[in-house]
Amino acid sequence: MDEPTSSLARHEIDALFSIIKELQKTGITILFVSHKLNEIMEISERVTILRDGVKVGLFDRKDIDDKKLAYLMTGKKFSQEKLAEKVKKEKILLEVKNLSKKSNYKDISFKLYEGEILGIIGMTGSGRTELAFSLFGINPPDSGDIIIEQKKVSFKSNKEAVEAGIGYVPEDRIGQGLIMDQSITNNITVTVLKKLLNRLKMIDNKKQKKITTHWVNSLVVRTSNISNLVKTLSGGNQQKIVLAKWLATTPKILILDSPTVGIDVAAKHGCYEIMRELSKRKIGIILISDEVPEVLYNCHRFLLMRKGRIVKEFQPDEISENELGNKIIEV
Amino acid sequence: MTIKDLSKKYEFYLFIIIISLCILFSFFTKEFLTLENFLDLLTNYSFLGIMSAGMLIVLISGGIDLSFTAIATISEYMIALIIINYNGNLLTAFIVSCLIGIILGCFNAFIIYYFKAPSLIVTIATLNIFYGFIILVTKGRWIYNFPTWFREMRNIFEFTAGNGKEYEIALPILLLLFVFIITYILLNYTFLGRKIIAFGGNQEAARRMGFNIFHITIFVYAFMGFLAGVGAISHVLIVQTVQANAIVGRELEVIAAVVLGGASLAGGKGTILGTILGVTLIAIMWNGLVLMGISSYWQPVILGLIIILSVISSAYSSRKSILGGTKIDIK
Repeated sequence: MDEPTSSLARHEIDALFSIIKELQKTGITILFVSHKLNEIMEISERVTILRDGVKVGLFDRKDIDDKKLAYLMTGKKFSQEKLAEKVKKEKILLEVKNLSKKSNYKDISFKLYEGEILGIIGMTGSGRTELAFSLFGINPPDSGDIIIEQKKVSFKSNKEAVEAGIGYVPEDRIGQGLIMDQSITNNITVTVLKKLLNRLKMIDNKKQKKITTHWVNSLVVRTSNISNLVKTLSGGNQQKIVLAKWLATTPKILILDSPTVGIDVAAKHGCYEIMRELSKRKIGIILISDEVPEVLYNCHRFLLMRKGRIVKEFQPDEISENELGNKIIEV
Repeated sequence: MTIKDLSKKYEFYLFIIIISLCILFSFFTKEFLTLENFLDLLTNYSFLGIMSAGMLIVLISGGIDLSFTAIATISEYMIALIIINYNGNLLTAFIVSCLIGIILGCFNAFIIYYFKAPSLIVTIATLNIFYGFIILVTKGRWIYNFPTWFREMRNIFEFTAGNGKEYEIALPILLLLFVFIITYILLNYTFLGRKIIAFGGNQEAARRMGFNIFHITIFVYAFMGFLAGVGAISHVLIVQTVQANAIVGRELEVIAAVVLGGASLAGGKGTILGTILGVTLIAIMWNGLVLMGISSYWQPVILGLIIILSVISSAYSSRKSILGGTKIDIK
């Protein structure tokens, strides 16, 4: 099974795992390929670790833990700590009041402060992505208010949302974010073409190169040349290109929809680093995810969504990984 | 740019093929490598070249247009009407011809955009509508009684070369140059051009960036229509007759020239340099075959093969990117 869980929600993964165990009883051997540490730890009996095309080791499940596995996979040590400093709740960037849309979500209210990373955690089908679409102007709500910097807005299209300073990094980066057959340059600057025009209303190639180089360097995209095609990059680096594309618009609010789906541990931590850096630069971030540790260790505050409603707001230090995991699926 | 960089470019190989063919044909026929033959080629293939520039834009946007030959035919009858029946001048004929092209192009775009209809089917249908309509109105009548001044307009200026021979530069050559230049600028230096490229590469991503898809669609098909108008003028100037079935049926030749030049039928990819080389290659092949006395029925066979090869290669490369497209740096 090659990454069989990549598009499944947690309860579906549980169902898959029980099927795997049934198959095992009938004597079928299963090779489970994944980069998701928690799944490997849960389902496997022995683990072979590959890095850069080379076998690093073969271990019994009981001889290894999450941290060691991550270390062997990447060659780097990662620390997982909750965000230490609290955000000064000074300036409200975004306020949502009683937002509702039929068969999407109901009575959604929250505030996002300057420099805050606000998590929204919920399963696929909890209404999290539909809500994000509404904030980005592509899924108009039936009722309720969206207020950006004290101004009430009602976007007719996502063009207006982009102009109001909202960036949206989609869950499906290949389908909705990137132009795979085109260069890194073309992908990054496509959101800011207007800024590239010179006096003759022509695109200035020098400016284009400057902007691209700036973002490639500051997000540490690994590539030999900015005219390389995006499809030649790894998943983690592709995700950085999507991020760069939106950061180039100098957004005030950045919505990240499951930004680390399908990328490896090292790239994930790279993405978290970038989020922390952006939060220091006063950008408000909404992180949508169904991965418990992702939200728990990288948000200042988070909202739990279930069946189209916000069930509860949490501070990361109020709850443990296990408790939160249970809360997501609780009925 | 080094030789190594050059060798990565598709255009480089195309150029090599063209040079080899030229050398090959000049061995077989003495007439091939003469300035006279070169100018004749340029004049005779200016219609193909002009239409190819339009087709390039349509293909890059992810669409296709098969109706342009019928649009050009309607424009040709209008040109004849203005010049012969109303004693109009060339400029009036030119403007009316282009306007008809733009209007009919917009008609295509409206249907494609509003009904989310596949451009292939829509333009096959409008090809038949436009063509049937012009046959009904004109009863397929041939027109050849153009005034003498119109005949003389064909050649803009004449010059005598060092060897005493007289050469003529035709107006269609200048029109061709003009079309290539504006298409080059459009694709490489304008906001609109970059939006078209992005839209063709990934429609959903373009929508997410807030691009106005309606404007892009209208422009692309109107531009193709406009060039059909320009092509009509240059074709009438060259052949000095108007007949209903002169250009309808040449759609594949144009598409083959553009995909031979590296554009993808899947959209998002293509350059004006490649298109120029594609048109050149087709022109040289046809000319060489004629000079060598080979049956012209090979032409449709070759055209069909080119298009099939192009479809296979883009299917192959997209499959390759799914299966083992990544390169791993094994340490």
